[in-house]
Amino acid sequence: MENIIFEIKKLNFYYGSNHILKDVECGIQKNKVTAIVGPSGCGKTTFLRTLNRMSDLAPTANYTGKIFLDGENILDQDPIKVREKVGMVFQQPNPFPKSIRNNLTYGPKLHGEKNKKVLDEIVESSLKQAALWDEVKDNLKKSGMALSGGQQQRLCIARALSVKPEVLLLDEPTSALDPIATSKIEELVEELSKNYTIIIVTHNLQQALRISDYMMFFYLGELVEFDRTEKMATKPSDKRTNDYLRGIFS
Amino acid sequence: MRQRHLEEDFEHIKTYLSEMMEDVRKQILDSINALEHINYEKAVKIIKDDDLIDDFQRKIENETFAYIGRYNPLAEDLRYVIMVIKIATDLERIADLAVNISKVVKKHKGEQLPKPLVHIKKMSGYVIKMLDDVLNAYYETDLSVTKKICYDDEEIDKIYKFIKEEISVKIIECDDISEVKFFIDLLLVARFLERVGDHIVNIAEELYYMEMGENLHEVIEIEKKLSKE
Repeated sequence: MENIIFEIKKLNFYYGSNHILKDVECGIQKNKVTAIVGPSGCGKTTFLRTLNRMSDLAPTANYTGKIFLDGENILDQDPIKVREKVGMVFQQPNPFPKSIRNNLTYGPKLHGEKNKKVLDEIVESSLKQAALWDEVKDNLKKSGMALSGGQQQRLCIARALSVKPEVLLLDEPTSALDPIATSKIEELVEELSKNYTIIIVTHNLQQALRISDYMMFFYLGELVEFDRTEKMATKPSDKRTNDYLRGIFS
Repeated sequence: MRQRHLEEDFEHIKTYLSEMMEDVRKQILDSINALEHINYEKAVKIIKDDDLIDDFQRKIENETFAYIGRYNPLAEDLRYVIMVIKIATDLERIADLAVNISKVVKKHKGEQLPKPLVHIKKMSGYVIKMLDDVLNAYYETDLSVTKKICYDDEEIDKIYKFIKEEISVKIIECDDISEVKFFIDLLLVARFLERVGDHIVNIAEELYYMEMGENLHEVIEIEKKLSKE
């Protein structure tokens, strides 16, 4: 049996009367990179946000179906606990207006960690994992806001890693970055996938092809196709996927 | 609807490929004709016209590389552009084989064929038919003929085997050294046609992959296996 971390069963999601996700069913592989692609408004970001209950934040949000993470339905759990296991990084880098160190200790402290030595270790290991340590190790008191855009985004990834999640959700993490900062994030995603499950929403098809093991194609709230990336790139099964990849609609 | 310039670039590649296919078909047909009548002038022209085929291949490669670089094609488009490059390579090789046949004609200028070309004509008949089928498969996206092409190639291989044996006997029986040399060259011609058949099969497989994303050779093997069961 394949190593599934997320199992989604008949997931429907509504904002008020708007039916956003329709009967989504799939299994997401552990320690692999899964890219979610599809035209604007297809539901890909909503789907990503359901995986750590971020979509709950909208007052009119409503779910049916089940999302199993390690065998437990996250829709029955405390969202804060879910977000401990499933971290998220957004399109615009959003470091806290605090020092680099405080950005990384904020989460662990919130979860009760007080030991300075342990917090120091978390700061170092999170920054190392996010490939930022060498650039900031001598300036940990500097404001996170003072870093470059690419560094800020890696700081946000480090912050997500600081609470030791199992899954990292990335919502268009490079769309606000230049090509060099983008390639650093892409390398980082590849490296992180050895230890984390990564699910990434991207508008950049080439990026999805470069970094993902699996690709999901959403269209009008429906999960049209979900397969290995190389198969999707050369021989998608569904005509809608084929047309989307060929740029017939976007 | 896709961007207009993307469609236009795609059409350029398609046009070059169909023109190249037509020209290569003519080169093969003319080379057999030149051999049949030991037509020196025709042979020289075929050798000269090979440069045009090489130009086509270069144009197709350049256009396709530019297309890949510009549009990063995916799915059906990705299969199409990669297969176009492969098809153009196979066509160029077929044209080279037409040149090889023409060089045999050039070499034997003013001589008579040692025997009428019965089996070589039969082989070339298959080759031309297969080329027509491949053209039809490309224009009409009629994939049913691609399997037929693979079976026709098996017929070509059988005729080639027969010609090898027939010419071996002729060589043993023949006292005239110049006739022996001609027989050896005819054996080479048969070998060239057999290679043309192989390249046409490649093109059929490439067209099949282009449309279906599947390996035709594997599809045929599965069908053969199923029919035996």
